[in-house]
Amino acid sequence: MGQTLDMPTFNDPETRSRGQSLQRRVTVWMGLGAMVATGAAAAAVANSIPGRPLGSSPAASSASAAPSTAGSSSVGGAGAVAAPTPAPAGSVPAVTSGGS
Amino acid sequence: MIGAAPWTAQAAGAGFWSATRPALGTTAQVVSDSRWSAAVLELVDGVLAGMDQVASRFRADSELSRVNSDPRPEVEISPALAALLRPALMWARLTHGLLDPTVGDALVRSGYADDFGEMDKDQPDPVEQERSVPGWRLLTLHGSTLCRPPGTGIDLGATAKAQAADQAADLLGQQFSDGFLVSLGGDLAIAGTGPSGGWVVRVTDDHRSGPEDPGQTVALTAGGLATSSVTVRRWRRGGQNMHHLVDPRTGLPADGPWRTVSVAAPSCLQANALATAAVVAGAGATSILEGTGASARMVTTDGRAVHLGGWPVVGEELEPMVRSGAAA
Repeated sequence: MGQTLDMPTFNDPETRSRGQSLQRRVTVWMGLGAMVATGAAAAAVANSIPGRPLGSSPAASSASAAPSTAGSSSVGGAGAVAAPTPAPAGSVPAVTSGGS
Repeated sequence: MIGAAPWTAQAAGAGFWSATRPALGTTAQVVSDSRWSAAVLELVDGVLAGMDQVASRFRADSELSRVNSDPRPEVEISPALAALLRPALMWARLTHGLLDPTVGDALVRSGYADDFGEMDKDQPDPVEQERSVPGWRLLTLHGSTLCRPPGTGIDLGATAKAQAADQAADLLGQQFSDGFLVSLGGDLAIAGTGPSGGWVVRVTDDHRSGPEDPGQTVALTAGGLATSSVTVRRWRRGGQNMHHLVDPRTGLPADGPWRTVSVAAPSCLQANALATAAVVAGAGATSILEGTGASARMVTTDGRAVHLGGWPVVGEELEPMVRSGAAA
């Protein structure tokens, strides 16, 4: 479909810079998604984020120091990211995802 | 389970069964590609009950409510609450505070102080001025010891419900061989193999929408899919429209160009965190999402759709958002 974005506000250097910085952080995390099944792995990811040593934030440091318990989610989930695909023609949705 | 609303089971397309019930202030739904067993729903009931008991901001007897009202600067919390706080803090860090578990007081000040189904939807009180939230960096969690300034209102709405969906799906996948789709308020987690070609999911503004409402129908084979929207959980306060997605920088409802963001990611938690962060980020949202590996469908407040990261365009019922001059 050749769709591209129309986001004129991206021309704002501050917005772009902030977004790119944040994107780098989240990319690291997402790329290691399967690895982050435990808090210890989360600590490793946090350490890998450029320019922000884990120890610089007591809150995050302590928060990610202990392994998750059974009460936590599988943060890594299914591992590789699988994009949705077009639904087969005429298929009936099993569920709806929307705001709640 | 005492006090829980009963499940309503129904057929959900060829060969599928679905069961729904109210839970966590929204709708819980479990879809299976095989026959139901009571054990399936009991397992999900257990997850929902545990989440409500630990993390509800609207139950005076929940652990979170007790922590929020505890005057001591240090409190011991359960492993379950700690397991909810850790990812909340991690995502606060990863998003530079676009997600922040200290939005609790801001939500109360905006009028979202009670269970949404019971709260006044037209409040005469004026909207307060901008005031950033205390900030997630004030929370430290050492093992089971939570340190924070007394009076800091913690809210786990941006992460806990999605964690519950992931947890329910994980447990179902561990204990049953069937394929399952768990939805909590439209935030989805998949367990097992599921149907050939993936689960067919309708994506739209409101998880209660019918097929007549504009959206897109896609198929999902693994991981999670979550949608954050400013169109559903809304009320009026002082004559202004309010919603529940608070921008921690202002302490007020996010006021950006996106009304709804859906994200597919390896887990429901990841998907929900990114979707909510994108709504809060506003103009910078696409920059944040691009390159993360997540797929996203974003809808502007005027009803145009943007697709990122491999999210299909086929089947989109909204007008696409195109770059000026790009189209012939």
